[in-house]
Amino acid sequence: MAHRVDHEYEYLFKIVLIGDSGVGKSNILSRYTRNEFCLESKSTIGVEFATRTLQVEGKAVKAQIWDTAGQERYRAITSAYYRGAVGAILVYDITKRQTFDNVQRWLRELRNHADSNIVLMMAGNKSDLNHLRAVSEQDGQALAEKEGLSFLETSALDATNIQKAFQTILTEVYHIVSKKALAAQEAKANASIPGQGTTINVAETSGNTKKGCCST
Amino acid sequence: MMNSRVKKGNNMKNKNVNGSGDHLPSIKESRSPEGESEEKASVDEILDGEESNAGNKDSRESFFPWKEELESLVHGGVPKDLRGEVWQAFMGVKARRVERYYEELLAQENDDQHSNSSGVFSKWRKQIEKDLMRTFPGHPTLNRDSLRRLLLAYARHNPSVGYCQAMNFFAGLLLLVMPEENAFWALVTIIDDFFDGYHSEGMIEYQVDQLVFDELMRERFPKLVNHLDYLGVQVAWICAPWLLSIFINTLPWESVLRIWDVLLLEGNRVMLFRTALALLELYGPALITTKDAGVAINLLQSLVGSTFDSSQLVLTACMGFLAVTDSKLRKLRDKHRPSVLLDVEERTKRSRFSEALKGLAYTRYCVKNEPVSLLEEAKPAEDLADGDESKLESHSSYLDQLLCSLNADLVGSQPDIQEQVDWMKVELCRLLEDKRAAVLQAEELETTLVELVKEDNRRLLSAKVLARMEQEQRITEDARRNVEKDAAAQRFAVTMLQEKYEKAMDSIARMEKRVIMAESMLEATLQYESGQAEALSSPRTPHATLDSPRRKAGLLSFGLGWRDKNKPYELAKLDFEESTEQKSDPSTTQEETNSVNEQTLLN
Repeated sequence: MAHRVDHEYEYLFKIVLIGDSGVGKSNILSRYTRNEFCLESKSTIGVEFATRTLQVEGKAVKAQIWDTAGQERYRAITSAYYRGAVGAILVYDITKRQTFDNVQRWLRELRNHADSNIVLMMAGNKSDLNHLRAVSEQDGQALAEKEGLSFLETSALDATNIQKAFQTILTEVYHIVSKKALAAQEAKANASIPGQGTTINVAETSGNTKKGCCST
Repeated sequence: MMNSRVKKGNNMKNKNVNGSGDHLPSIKESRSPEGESEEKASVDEILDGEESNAGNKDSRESFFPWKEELESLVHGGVPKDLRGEVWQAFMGVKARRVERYYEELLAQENDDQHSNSSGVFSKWRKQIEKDLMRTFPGHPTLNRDSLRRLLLAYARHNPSVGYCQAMNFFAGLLLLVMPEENAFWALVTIIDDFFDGYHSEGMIEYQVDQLVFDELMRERFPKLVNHLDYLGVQVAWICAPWLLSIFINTLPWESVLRIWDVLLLEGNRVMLFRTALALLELYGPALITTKDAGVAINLLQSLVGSTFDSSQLVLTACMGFLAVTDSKLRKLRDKHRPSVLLDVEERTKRSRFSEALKGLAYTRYCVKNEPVSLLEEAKPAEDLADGDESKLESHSSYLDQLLCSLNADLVGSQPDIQEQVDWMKVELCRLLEDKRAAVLQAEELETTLVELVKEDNRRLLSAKVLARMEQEQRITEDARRNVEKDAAAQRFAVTMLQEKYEKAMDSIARMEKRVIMAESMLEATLQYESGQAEALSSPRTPHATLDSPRRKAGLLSFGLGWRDKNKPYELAKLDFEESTEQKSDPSTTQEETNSVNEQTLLN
C-alpha cells in the first residue's frame, strides 16, 4: 500500500511487473532502476525486487518494484506478491502475439488476487524490434481503451518510454492516493463539524446571555 | 560413497511406498533387480573394496562405519575435479540409469515435434526454448543443445512436472559437472525424489515448505521475524528464490556448490532449510537494523554478488541447526499441508481459468502421496462444498478409476496419462462453463451490491444532513430562547426603572408639597412679622423691612429653579413677573406663586 513515511521520501508505492515469460520484465526493471540492460538475462525465479526514488508533482515518491516470474505455474505463488501493490505494469512482447493474447488472462489474475483499486498499465515491450512486430500499436491501444488501462510501447533495450511508463503509473497512483487522503480528511472533518459546532455555539450563546444579565 | 547406496536404498523404499503413483512402473520394476548390480558397479568404480550390499536402511550403520568421516569431508567441500563423479555416486545415478530410456524419450519428443500434437508439450518446449539462453547467460562451456535435450526428455519422463523454470538452472549445473545422460538421471533424482511436488503445477510442496520455513524461522529468530513483520516483509518474499532454485543465482557459485554437496549427500531437503536458517543467522544482525522493507530485501538479494565465506555458511548450517532434521521437517509438512491443499482448492475454485493440467498434477500428487486418505477426504468435503458437489463426485469417482487402473495394471499408466489429460480437458470445459455462469452471476451480484452500497451511502448522507439540520435548528432555537429571555429581562428592567422613576416623581411631588407648606408657613410668618413691625413702628425705615421678604422669595424661586428646565417658557416668564411683582406687592406675589405651584403639580 501507499505509506506516508518521513524518511527521504514522502510516499512509498509498491508496483508489480507481470506478464508472460520472456517479455522483458526484468530488463524493464533493471533499465529503470539501474539503467542497465542485458540481452541475455537469467530467468527470474520467484520474484526480484528493486527500488527507485523519483519526484511526482514535487513530492518524493519511492517506487518499490517487484519483478515476478512469468511462467504460468508460478502464479500459484506470485499472487502473494500482489498484496499491497498499488500499481501493476502488465508487459507483453510486441514481437510475440501470444504474449499479447495472454494479457486478458493476466488481467483476470490481477482482478482475482490483487487489490481492486490497483492502477493498471499495459506496456508493449521490445518496440525497438519493429521489423519483427506481431502486434500493432493500434491493437494495443484498442485493448487498453477497452480495459481502461493506460498504454505505452516501450523498449528496455533503447530505454524508450521506460521512464515515462513508470512516471505515468506513479503519477496516477499518486493522484488516487492524495485524492483518497483528501477525501479521508474531509470525511473526518465532516464527521466532527456538528459536534464541535454545537459545543461552541452553546458556549457562545450562554456566555452572551450571562453578559447581558451582568451588564443590566 | 557408501552413503549413496544407503541413500538409494531410501529412495527405493520411498518409491515402494509411493509406488502406486509412479507413472513409470516399468522402470521402477526394473530398477530393483538392476539397481543392485548397478550399484555394485558404481561402487567398484569409485571406491574399491566396499561392501556392496545396500538397499537396507536398518543395516546402514553396520555397513557404513565411515559415515561420519564422509560427512565431515563433504562438509569441508568436495574437490572440484571429483564433484561430478561424487554427486552421481551420492544420487546413485549409475544404479538408476536404464539403458536406452533417455534415447527413447528423445525419440518420442522428436516424433511429437514433427507431428506437432499435444498442447502441453509444445508449451513446455516454447518455455524451454526461451530459457536456454537465460540459463547462466554467457557461460562459455554450457552446451545449450544438451540443455534443451535434457529438459525436453525430463518433461517427457514426468509430465506431472513437465518443465518448470529453475529446472533449467539445475540441469545447467549438472551438465557442467557430468555427461548429458548422467545429468538426466541426476535431474530425475533431484526433481522426483528430493524435491517431489516442488516444481509441479501448483507447486504444492514448495508452498508447504514455505510455511514450514516460516514456522522454523519464527521459532529460531523471533526478534528478527518481529522486525520483518513490522517492516511488512513476508517470509515468502525472502525464501522463494532460495528454496525454488536451491540457492543458484542467490549465493556465490562456490557456496552453491558446497551446499549442493551436502544436500545431495543427504538426499533430502534438510540442508535447504539449514542453509536458509544459517543465512538468517549470519545476516540477522544486519537485517534487524534495516528501516524499510526494500533495504531488507535488497540486502538478501545482494548476497549473490558479495564476498562470502562459504565454509562458514556450511559450518553454521550443519552445526548450528542440528535440531532441524528430516523427521521434524516431515512432521511440520504434514501439519501445514492441509492448509496449503485447501488454499490451492480455493484458488482453483476462485481463478476463472483453472487449467486441466493443474488438476491433473494435483490429482497425481494426491494419489501418489496418500491414495486412500484423499478419497476419504473427498467425501466429507462433498458435504461442505454444496456448489461443487458434482465436480467433487466426478473427481472422486475419477480417482477411484485412476486408483483401480494403477493398482491393477501398473504398466498401463503411460496411456493413462493421455486419458487423464483427455478427461481433464472435458472437465475443464465443464468447469469453464460453470465458471462463466458463476462469473455472470457474480457480476450481477456486484452491480446490485454497488447499487445497494450507493443507496446506502445516499441514505447515510441524507441522514447526516438531516442530523446537522436538526442540530442547527436546535442551536437557533436555543439562541431564540436566549434572546427572548434577554428581552424579558430588559423589559423587566424597563418596568423597574419606570417604577423607580415614578417613585422618584412621587417623592419629588411630596417634597414640593412640603416646600409649598413651608413657603406658606414662611409667608404667614412674614406677614405676621410685617404686621407686627407695622404695628410697632410704621415710620421707621420701611426699606429694610421690605428687604428681607424679597430676599426670601428670591431664595425660594432659586430653590425651585431646577424645575425651570421642564417648565414651559410662560412659567419661567411668570416666575420673572412674580419676582418683579413681588417687589411692588407681596400679597399678589403669594397668590401668584400659589398658582405657579399648582401649575407645576398639574404637570
